[in-house]
Amino acid sequence: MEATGVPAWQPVAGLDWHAGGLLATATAAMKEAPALALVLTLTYFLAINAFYLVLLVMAALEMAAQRLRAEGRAGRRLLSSPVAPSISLIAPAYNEEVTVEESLRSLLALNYPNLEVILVNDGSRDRTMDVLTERFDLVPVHPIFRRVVESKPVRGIYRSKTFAPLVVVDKENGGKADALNAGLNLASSHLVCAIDADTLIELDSLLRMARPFIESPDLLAAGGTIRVANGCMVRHGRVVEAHVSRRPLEGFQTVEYLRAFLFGRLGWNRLGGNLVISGAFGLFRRDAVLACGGYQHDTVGEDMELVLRLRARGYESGGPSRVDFVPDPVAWTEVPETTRVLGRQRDRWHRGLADVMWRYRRACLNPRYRAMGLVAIPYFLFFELLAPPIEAVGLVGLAIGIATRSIDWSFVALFFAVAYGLGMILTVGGLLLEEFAFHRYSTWQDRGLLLLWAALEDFGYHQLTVWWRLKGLWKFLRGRRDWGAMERRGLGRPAA
Amino acid sequence: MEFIALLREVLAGEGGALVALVSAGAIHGAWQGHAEGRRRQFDTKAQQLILGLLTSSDPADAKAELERWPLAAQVRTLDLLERSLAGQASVAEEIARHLGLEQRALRLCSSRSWRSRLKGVRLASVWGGLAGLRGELLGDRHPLVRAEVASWSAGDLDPLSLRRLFSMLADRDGYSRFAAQDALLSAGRAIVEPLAEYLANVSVEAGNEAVVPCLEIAAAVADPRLLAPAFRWCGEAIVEARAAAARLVGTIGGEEAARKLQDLLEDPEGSVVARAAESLGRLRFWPAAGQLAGLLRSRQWEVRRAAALALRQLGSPGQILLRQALRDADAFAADMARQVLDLPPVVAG
Repeated sequence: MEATGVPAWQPVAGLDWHAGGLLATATAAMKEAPALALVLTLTYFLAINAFYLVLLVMAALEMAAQRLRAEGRAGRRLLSSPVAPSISLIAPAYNEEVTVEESLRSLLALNYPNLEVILVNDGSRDRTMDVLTERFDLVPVHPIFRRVVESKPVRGIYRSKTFAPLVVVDKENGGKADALNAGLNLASSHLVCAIDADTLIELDSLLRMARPFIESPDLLAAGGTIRVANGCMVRHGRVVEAHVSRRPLEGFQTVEYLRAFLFGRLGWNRLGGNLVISGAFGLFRRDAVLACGGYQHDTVGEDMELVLRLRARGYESGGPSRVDFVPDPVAWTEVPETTRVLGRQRDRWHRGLADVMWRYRRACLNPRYRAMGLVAIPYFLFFELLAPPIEAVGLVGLAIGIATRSIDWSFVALFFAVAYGLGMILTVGGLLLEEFAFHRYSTWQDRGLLLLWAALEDFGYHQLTVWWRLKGLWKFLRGRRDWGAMERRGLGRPAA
Repeated sequence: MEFIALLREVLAGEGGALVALVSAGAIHGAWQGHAEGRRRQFDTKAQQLILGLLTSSDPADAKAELERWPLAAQVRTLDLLERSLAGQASVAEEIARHLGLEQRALRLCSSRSWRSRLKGVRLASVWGGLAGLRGELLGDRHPLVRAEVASWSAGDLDPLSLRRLFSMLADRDGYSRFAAQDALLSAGRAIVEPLAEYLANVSVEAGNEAVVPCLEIAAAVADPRLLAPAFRWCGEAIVEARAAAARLVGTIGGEEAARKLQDLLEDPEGSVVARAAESLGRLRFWPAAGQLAGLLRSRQWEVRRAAALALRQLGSPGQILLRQALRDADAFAADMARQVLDLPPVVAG
């Protein structure tokens, strides 16, 4: 099922292992200026891997602390507490007639005491609105609300006679950011949860996600873990059995997501620099989002852009600027099954990253923005955004080196093996965090598949992602801002 | 060549680390599988044991059986037992004492490590033991421990716990504040008198964190005994407290309350005026219609909206004033009146 045409911009924090690229850069450059090239290459290699190791250690510490807090009676009482902060869940939908009923029913069944579900029909051309009206017994209402952030005209607002927390907004098509803005204007809660309409949220996820907002009133936003639903058993809009896909492309993405969320973003909590909250599942303070103007329409990285804007505004005004990642609220998403669609997704993510880095270049290495300016933005710039060109240059260098027979093959093989081994250690470390903290993949077959995909992703798949990200960078430099079409089969449905 | 030798050593180290990590994962997976199987086995036994306790008044057999079980299974069984035998806490307590769990919880709760104290509180709360210690533990140094004890106390509050919970409403830790507010709310009317006393005596210097949650709790209880402290806070300097007090006064109601709310319509803060207008609408106090109509010209959207909706709730007098406002020279007033008059009858706002 599609959410407003395309899924959320959601960079899977690269954590690339630049074995081939770095080695090749080193060897190629050594031909011209051996010492300098070697020093630069090794410095980059050591810096990136040292940073990953720090992230992994931070993630492990953070995981232990969060698990301790999540247990106990106090957490369970949230479920029925009238003082739990209210949440408006905003789900944009575009041409969802087949799946909208099931998705919405699963959202309405979430465990949370003060929940409002706002489904925004973003000018669907199919029967989405008819299905909603029929199945949810909708009646038009005329609430008095303030249009604080801009959105395309709203055609009508409806409430359900049978599901009290449901509000449906019917509006002209304007894209995901526009639909979320329309929902933000209508939302009446203290917190807003932005999701894709096809995200499968676990029953207790909102309870877990609301917890840090109760603990820290200065928290602006929190993101939860997104897991890959491909290969899982899905019934009535819920993942009932978690499995790892047997198809390589989806399996590689499963490993990527686990690594990016459980060790990438969790580790950043302790380094004070979470910059990304997935558009598929994130919780925000509504007043803070409205105060900074809601979602931007003119970027393909609207969720990262919003997080940076919120944080930058906090630092600039002396207000709150904290954004956390919470590992145990889980939402499941369907990842692309073909290289064509995956390529478009990664290309768009990288364009989004480039766009956001450019917009907030003022914060880079600027002490006014503290950890965000001094650590997070430089990291995303040098180790995420610029990693593909660095690696590509290295690969070209490798080709030249082979052609000119200037490479010492024993050195090549050994360096490859060391870099690959380090990458594997980090990936397996991330998988171990999953095993120790959540134990979601409970069969030996699934664990074996995870290890297999982790071991194989550097052979071909990783190079493909480099190519797609390079394309994204090139398109960004040429000013392309389109999203590209995203095709999904639909969770719990057999392949055509 | 030295560099190559170094790479070889690093590679060997990586290999060892990888083997260790994969082995750790495999061992954990195997152990989890085993533990899950045992847990299921003991859960089945626990259900049988509880069924036995339901039909027999003597827990001697159950105690003897539980003695042979591992600690985790004992605790899970007590948890099940406490839920199944609601109102017969003494049975669970007796078993816990017999198994040495009470001593264990007590030891943990007295530890210098907050993690141990938290563990102790969580253990004791399984069967509701060590109730006498709760008041003291609510003053724990660590906010997580305080929050856990507050949740445990909900529904069964002694005077010391109540005092501590009120003081926790101004806790620096948000989670502790939440747990205290939740525990107090769950106490219902039993907290009216201590709440009234607290609201009457707490100083303005304590700040809105100490007062607003109490006023919110009071609004949920809505007891007339809380009217006097509510009036006090309607006149204090804290804006959030005045707004919360306006809501509280509206939930209690009465002629005196309505007059106080009319006074609050003159408040310089929009949020206070809006809450007062809402309350007057809820009380259907039509003598305030004229004042509310005047507020339609406010430059604050929140105030205009609250006033218009309140007028609508007043019935005929409010409707007449809203229709008049349609022709108001002030575009803001006319627009808000139109929006509210356009609402279908089922929508209350």
